Amino acid sequence: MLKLTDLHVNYGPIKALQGVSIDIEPNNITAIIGANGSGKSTMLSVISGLIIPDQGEIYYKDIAIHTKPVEERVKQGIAHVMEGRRLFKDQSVHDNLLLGFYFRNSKENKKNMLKQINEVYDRFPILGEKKSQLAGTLSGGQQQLLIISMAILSKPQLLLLDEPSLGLAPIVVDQVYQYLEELKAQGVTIIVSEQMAALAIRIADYGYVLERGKVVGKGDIHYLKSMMESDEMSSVYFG
Amino acid sequence: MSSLQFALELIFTGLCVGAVYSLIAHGFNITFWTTKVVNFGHGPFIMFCSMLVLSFLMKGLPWIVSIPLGFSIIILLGYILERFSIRPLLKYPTSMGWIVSTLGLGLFLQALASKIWGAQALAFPPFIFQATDYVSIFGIQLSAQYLLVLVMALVIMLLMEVIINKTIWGKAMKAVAFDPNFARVMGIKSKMVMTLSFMISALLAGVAGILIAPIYGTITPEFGMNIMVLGFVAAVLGGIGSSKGALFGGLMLGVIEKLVGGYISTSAEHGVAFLILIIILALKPDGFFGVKVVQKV
Ligand SMILES: Nc1ncnc2c1ncn2[C@@H]1O[C@H](COP(=O)(O)OP(=O)(O)O)[C@@H](O)[C@H]1O
Ligand SMILES: [Mg+2]
Repeated sequence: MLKLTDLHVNYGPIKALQGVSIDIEPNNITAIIGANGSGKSTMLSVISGLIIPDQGEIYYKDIAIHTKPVEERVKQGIAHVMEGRRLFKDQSVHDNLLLGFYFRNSKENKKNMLKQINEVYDRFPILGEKKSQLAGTLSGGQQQLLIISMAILSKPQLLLLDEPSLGLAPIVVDQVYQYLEELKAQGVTIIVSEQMAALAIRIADYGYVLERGKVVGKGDIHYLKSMMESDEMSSVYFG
Repeated sequence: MSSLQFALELIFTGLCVGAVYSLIAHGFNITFWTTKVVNFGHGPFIMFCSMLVLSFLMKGLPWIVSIPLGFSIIILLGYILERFSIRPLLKYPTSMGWIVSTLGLGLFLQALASKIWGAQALAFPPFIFQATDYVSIFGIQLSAQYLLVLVMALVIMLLMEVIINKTIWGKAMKAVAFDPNFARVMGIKSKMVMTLSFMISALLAGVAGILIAPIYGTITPEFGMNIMVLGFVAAVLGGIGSSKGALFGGLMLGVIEKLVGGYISTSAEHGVAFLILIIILALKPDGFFGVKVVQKV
């Protein structure tokens, strides 16, 4: 589904990614686990196209995309939920959904715009109730659900989420994760970054551990669990 | 003429020129929203468009052809400015290069205008109405030309408001203004929206030029820069980035200016305007409707 080979990204003197290679299976949830500053956001931004790597290649469904602009990758089915709960906070919930839909769908699909937005309201009635409020007035959890709902309005095949649980109450994290499971069941391939492995292993099928821009561990759910139990790792990453 | 009538006429005239300042302030706002750039070439755009239209008129072309032609050229200049001298600089958010680029293009246009049309003042013909056409409301004589300017400026600003808030393209522009990277991820071509904002802003400059030139009666290569400063004052007074602020700031500046002109001296008009700007900024640094600009990574 997605293959990164030997990616390097530098911000001036800072080496954010130093030769990262990963392989993502379709219809899986893959966790990218790493401490603050380990390069998770950089890696997701390289996949979505917000950052062009200095070196390395990205193959999405066997096609090289690392030189393609964001807009094109969006069209090919990649959606990116950036870190820090980005929303158009000065516009209404409904307008955010319109913006989420309009520029990533074909003319043909646009006929179903309101139908699809109403499906969001059906799934999360609270968003329907607050559809004319400014997005910035929603609670953190509601904002996150709105953001993910916006992201998937393009019907992506690959969904990237950058620390979706950060700053959310545990019960809201459950809600977000449950929604991700639902999306996976609908056939979406998901990559989710988290600082806490304890959170990630709740939904991940597979995981990579990043440290200072390098992959220092990878494996399935058993590996991640065993790693959590091993002392040296847990003291560093797993709180 | 009674003293009340005199005051009302001053206020009316002030509202009319003020509406043009508002229009200029709007022009500033549009590019500021999308790129955080204050386009100091805006004034020379105002001048250049009216010079172009004037020269087309003198070649014998009718208004209906001259104006769209002038607008097209000025829109093209807006495109060129963004594409070739703003966009390369946006990669470096701390660069102050845009001041040099926008001011540089402005000064270049001004020099070019002197070269083509000469440095002397050129008479600009009245538009639709004659300078002597008046409308009488409640015993006050209102110049039809001024009234036209007021109505046009207000209609254009209203139209802009509707476009920005009610159409998907306007919402997209607000989205790019708020968070260009998030907008890109949502499939909005942020760079295209930025370019478009410079083109729309240039068009507004052109409109302001065509509206104000018949009121001034004559135009010179410098008049754009001079009136731009007033539009800038209006924008800052209202709070840069705010539509309400642009409208309010412009109208207020126009009225104050004309009251000063009427009761003190016309030569004090602009001086006093700046004095007021300084005082207001000291009291309200963000202007009346200041929008807090949040810097994003
Ligand atoms: N825009 C930037 N400019 C300079 N350095 C950056 C920038 N973004 C991230 N970095 C640096 O790159 C490294 C990786 O950051 P990031 O990808 O944000 O990691 P994470 O998401 O895991 O916290 C860090 O050292 C960070 O300070
Ligand atoms: Mg991060």
